[in-house]
Amino acid sequence: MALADYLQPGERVAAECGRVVVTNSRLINYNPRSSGLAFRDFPYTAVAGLRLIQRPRYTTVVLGALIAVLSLLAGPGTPLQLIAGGIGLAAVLLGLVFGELSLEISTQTGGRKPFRWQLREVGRRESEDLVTVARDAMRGGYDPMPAAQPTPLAAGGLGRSVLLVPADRSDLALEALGGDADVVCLDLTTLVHPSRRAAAREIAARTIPVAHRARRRAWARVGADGTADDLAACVWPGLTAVALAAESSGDVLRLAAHLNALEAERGVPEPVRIVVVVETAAGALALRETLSASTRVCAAIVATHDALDLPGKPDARSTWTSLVPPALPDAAHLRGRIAAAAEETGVPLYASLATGIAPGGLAEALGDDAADRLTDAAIVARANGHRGAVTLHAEGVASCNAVFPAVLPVSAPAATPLPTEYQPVIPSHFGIGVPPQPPAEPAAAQNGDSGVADVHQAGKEEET
Amino acid sequence: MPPVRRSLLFTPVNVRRFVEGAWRHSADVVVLDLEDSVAPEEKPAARAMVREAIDLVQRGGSEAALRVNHDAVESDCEAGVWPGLCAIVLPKADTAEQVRHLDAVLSRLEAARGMPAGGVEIMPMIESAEGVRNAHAVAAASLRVKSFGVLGEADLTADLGIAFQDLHEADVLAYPRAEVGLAARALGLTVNGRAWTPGRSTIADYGDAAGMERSMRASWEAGCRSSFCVHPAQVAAANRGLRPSQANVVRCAEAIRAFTDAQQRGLPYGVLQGVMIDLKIARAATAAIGYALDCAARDAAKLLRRREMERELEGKDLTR
Repeated sequence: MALADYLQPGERVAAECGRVVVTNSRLINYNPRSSGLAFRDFPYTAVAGLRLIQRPRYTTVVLGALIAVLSLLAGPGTPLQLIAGGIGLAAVLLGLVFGELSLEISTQTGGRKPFRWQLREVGRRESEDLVTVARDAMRGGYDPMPAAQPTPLAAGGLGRSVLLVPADRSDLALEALGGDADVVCLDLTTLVHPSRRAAAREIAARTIPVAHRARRRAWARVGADGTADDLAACVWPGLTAVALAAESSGDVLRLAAHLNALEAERGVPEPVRIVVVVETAAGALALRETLSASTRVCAAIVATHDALDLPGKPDARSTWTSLVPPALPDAAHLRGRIAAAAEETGVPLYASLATGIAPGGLAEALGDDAADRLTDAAIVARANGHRGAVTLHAEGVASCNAVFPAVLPVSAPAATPLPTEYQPVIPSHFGIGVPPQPPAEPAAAQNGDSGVADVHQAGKEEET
Repeated sequence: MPPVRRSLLFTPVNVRRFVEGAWRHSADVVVLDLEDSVAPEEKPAARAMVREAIDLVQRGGSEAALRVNHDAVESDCEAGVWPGLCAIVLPKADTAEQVRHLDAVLSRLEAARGMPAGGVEIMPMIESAEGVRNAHAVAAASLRVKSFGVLGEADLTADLGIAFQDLHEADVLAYPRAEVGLAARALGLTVNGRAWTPGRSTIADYGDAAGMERSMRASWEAGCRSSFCVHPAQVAAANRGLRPSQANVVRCAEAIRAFTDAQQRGLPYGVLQGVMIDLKIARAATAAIGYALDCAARDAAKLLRRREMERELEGKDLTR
């Protein structure tokens, strides 16, 4: 179990030092290397006092003393014996003077011996800082729900533009990975026909490694009705985040548990983040709860309304989308609620930009000035505090990249070109019931097709 | 599919001629009022009239509901919970505890009077700042709450220190309206109440027919399915406005066709005017057509009942 999943909803890490973690509600000691129950904790209500103590390093002292004694017992003599004796004495001195730092915790149950947690491989200054923060938290000085500290992903790993592509279309996915979108999100939900879900999972499993090699950010949008299978297909090194429509903290925690298991099983080095999709009234009402359910949550997508829904600018969408009862009569109220939840939890928001318009349908739906309208909508979304936007259109990507602030690169200085062919790695325990496909023929790659496209085609032929 | 309850016409239960004539107005529901329209000293007598009134107001095909006093729930329910009653309107619903208490009273009375368990719904009205703050808890307090979202605009503006007349100029109740609407939708309940429209279109402006029409259309588009009426003149506008229009039904049919065609071709969504017609839109369109049919059926049934009643009454007159 990762630390992130041990935290309670609403619990935030205030400081971390070695194996000791200070949150707004308790002290936690954990061993990341342990395979069993690796956590111990003390709620502040049970803690009477804290102090930093330094104790001799008994192991070093005993070992040094043993060397010194043995060298003396060997009798007077050689310089080597004298050196060994000197090293032994020096070790004893070092062990006594530069001792080990421990956190001593006195509990409210009087008479009980204080607990001591070793602060391994940690300097004195860091340790003192930890104790200061912990005491502050015990006094309630640590805001129980402060803005989350930006994680490396939130700081630089989130893009401006998220391009949604149907996961069963490998041609579109590869095109997107070679395009300008900061993030390519493989959709396994509404953009995929139910009969194509299995094929979509298979293709997603092959596309994620491509994104990894190309140093591109890849998300996967998974469905509530097949989350386990979708995740089994997508959680590979290279998947940055999973997007899921969540209506409660339980939805997020279940997703986090799935991710834990798959990451551990597959050796995924970086934790896969969670993007909460808000698309219902219940989701909007529970947003604060869902965003703070796990530290994996890195962003939220506002899907209850579109950034194009600007006052006085009706378009063809309203003819059809008005058939769906609105999530709320007053969109301003809903926006306000969502923005407040995001602000309180420090989670960045993504707008939806023309996600109700079919790819290729922009001009028909919005008119000749579609690109300008997308840019106008992105400007408004930015003014409303959104970090970026999700879209289905290359024009939307261009608008987002032009309007939203640039992001830092993830880990590579520049994107490397997409491979023309690759060897998909699908372990035998890949649990989606689809046998590994043979690698693409080089000839196909030379013809301008990708291996993924061939596999896709093969999958189609098998189905037919 | 929720029952068709577009117009809920308040009728003071102690005014005999109003009760006897209520069946003529074609309201989907006649709400017998024991609260604001009955003077305190007349309430005991009014309670004694409820049981008979329930039958009288249903003669034209309307359903019968009862608005109780929030501070006399037990005695009002004792007087009014009889077979034929579809719902209790609970005014000044400030806390979930009030709803739970009413639920318990109804359960007891239903069992004692041979009525189906859980058959009487609860329609809470939010009329105070406290009620707005507790909206979600109030709506979630009982499974009897199947529709939610009605604001008692007069009392709520008074509680918030706002002049009721300000509603003619601006939606001064935008926040409460949105908050109760959000709670209703989050719980999957039918949304009641009215959207705001400028001008004289509040529930009290029953003299302005055009304002009522505007209000009802806006309310339908905002997702509301029923509205209280304080005057019979408002009923027709509610029945017309709170249902899919003919143009809407045509669009729904087009959307369903586009989606089903796409599904047959193995595509995840259809496209109309460049817009994706996905499962969510197709489902909503199907529901809208179903609701339009239900509304038409309800109107036809009420019309038949009214004609039967008219013939019956004419017959009685002739025999006299």
